[in-house]
Amino acid sequence: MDLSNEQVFALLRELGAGKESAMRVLYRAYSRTIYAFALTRLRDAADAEEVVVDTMHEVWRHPDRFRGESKFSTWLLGIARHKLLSMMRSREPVHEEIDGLEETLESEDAGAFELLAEKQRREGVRNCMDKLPEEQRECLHLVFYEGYSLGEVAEVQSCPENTVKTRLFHARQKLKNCLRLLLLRENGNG
Amino acid sequence: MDEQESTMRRRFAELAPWHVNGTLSQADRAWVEDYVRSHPKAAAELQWYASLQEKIKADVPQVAPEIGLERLLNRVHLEKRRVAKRQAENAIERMLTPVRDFVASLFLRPAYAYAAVALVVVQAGVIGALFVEQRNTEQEYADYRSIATAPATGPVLRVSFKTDARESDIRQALVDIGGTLVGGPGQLGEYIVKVPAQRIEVAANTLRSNSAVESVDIAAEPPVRE
Repeated sequence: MDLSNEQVFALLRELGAGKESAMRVLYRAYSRTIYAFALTRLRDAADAEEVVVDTMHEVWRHPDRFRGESKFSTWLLGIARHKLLSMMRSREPVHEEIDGLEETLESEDAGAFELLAEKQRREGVRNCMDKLPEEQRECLHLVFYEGYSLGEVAEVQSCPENTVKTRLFHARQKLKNCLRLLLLRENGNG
Repeated sequence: MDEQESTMRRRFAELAPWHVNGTLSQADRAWVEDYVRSHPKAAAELQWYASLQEKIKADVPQVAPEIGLERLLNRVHLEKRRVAKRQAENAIERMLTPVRDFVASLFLRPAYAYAAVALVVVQAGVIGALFVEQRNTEQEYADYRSIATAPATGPVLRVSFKTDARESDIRQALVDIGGTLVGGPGQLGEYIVKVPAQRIEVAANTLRSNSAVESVDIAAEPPVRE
């Protein structure tokens, strides 16, 4: 459920007056969005839940900070991103990047896309997504899960639009090559 | 692939994800669709993105919208309690600060401390004196009441003073004869003066010789009070 900015402003005013009922409405409307976003980066359910709580707590403390210059969910994910980044700072990166694949398999033939569109499986996509650098994985989530525009992704990721384009380009290359390799492996084994 | 074709291919790759997620402007959307019409194989890339989108969406675990809500509310309640406690402490602090400052200033400046102690002692003395004085006044009042209410019997003097006689003249006349004022002045200005019966004649003569006295009579009994 995505609320209009007018609805959000009304709820934020109530929140400013200390009404918990307004917080419950906002929470139910946006908790899953924040959770899915946080999980993309953190890959841990408990940590993702922590980010949801921290983010909504920030909203409770400073409801007047939302100015309506963007969608409320975009603004929220910006807060969530800061929360999860500070959570991640103390941790070692665990992903296995697949930069090598980008150079070794650069095929642009339409057949490759056709094959992937038909054969790729959910587990394969998850597996390859997990191997992407965090910024690229987050970018794909915002584009394909949240359905954000280029400007909105740039706002959440706090970067120029060209950076988003670059991240998306590299993510596409690595993902496509990873998925093709998986299919080749499956076919080889089969 | 010539340069123009290469540029178009890069533009298509750049716009494809946004075409699939539905956020392209109308012009860019139309351009992508034109490109796909003229390059049918490009449609496969759009299909791949669509498939990718479907799998990304499906891979996000569905959780209850209340996930973590109770934890948040507990945190909010705890904060509210802390704020209330802090406000109460601040209020007490605001009340105590001037008192504490005053006491501290006394210790920091001995002269003020001595002055304050002296002030307290003087105040205590004044209060004590007033208390004693009040006790004495009460006693005098009681004495006066006892005299006034004691019924005077036997012969008395009825004395009229001249109109220009002063209060000190009257008091001195009473002292001269050792008399006690037991009544008056009445409507005609008469005072009733009691002296021991054996000295009443002498007292009457003494008063008659007093220049402040107009007249003196001896009455067998004090007049009845109206």
